[in-house]
Amino acid sequence: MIKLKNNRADSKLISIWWFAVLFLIAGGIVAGTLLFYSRGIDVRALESNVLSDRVLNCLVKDGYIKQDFLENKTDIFKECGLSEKIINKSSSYYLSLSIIDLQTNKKEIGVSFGNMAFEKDCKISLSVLNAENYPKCSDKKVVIIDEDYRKLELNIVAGSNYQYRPE
Amino acid sequence: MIYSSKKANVSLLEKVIFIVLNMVFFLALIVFISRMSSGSSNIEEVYAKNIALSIDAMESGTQVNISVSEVYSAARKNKFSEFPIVIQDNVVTVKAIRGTGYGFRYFSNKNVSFQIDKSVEGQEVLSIKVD
Repeated sequence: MIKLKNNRADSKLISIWWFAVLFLIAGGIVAGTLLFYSRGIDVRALESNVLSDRVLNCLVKDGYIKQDFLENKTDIFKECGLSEKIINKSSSYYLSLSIIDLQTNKKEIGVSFGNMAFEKDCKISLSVLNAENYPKCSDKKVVIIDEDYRKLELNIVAGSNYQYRPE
Repeated sequence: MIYSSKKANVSLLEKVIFIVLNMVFFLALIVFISRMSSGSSNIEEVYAKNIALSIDAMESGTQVNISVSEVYSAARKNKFSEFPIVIQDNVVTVKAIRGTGYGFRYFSNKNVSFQIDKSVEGQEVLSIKVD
C-alpha cells in the first residue's frame, strides 16, 4: 500500500516537472520568435543598390557620360530625381561618384553626398561579411566614354543605413 | 475488485487529462508562431518596404501595379475601416490594424500619384505612377 502511494506521488511529480520543462521550452520558442520578427526585414542592401543604379542610369546613356556632369554643371539631385533633404540631412545615406581617366590615371571628378562617415564604413562593410551594424553598400565600376571618346571609369558607391523608426 | 476498477478509472482519467493538456499546449504554441509569421505588423512592414523600394526604382513616366489584397484582407479581419495605404511626404505608410502603422521613407523626389482599384473585393491593386 505504501509503495502504491509513493508511485502515485511520483507520477504527479513527474507531470509537474513535465509541464515545467514544457513551459521552459515554450518560453524559449516564444522569445526566439519575438526576437526574430522584431528585427524587421533588412532592405538596406537593396536600397543602396537602387540608389547606385538610379544615379548610373541618369548620368550614363548608351555608354556616354553626360558632358554637363563632367564639367561640374549638373545638380545630381535634380538630374536624377533624388531628394536632397533625405540624402543629405537624414544621415542614413551616402553617395560618392568618381571618374578616372583610364589613359592618364588622373581623377577627373570626385564628389560625395550624405553621411560622410559612411565612406570608411562602406569599405569595411564591403570587405567584411558580417558587419551587421554598418551601412549596407553597393560599389559599381563602369567604363564609359565622353564626347571626345576618352575612356573613363565611373565609380559609384552608395550606402544605406536607413532602418524604420516610428514617425 | 471494485476498488481496483475505481483506481484504473482514475488512472485513465489522469492520463487523458495529461494528453489533452499536452495537446492544448502544443496547439497554443503552433497558433502563436503562425500568427506571428502572418501577423498584421509583418504584412504592414513587407508592403511598406516593397512599395517604397518600387518608387525609388521607378523611372519618370512609368507605372507599377502591386497587388495589395493581403493588406486589405488583414485590415478587414482586424475591422480596420480606414484607408490602409498612404503615400505622402516621401513616406509610405501601411496600416492594417489600429495604431501608427508602418512607415518607410523613399528617397525619390519625383511626383508620385497612386490609386487603388477596389472593384473586386479580395483583389485590390495599387497603381503607382511617377511623373
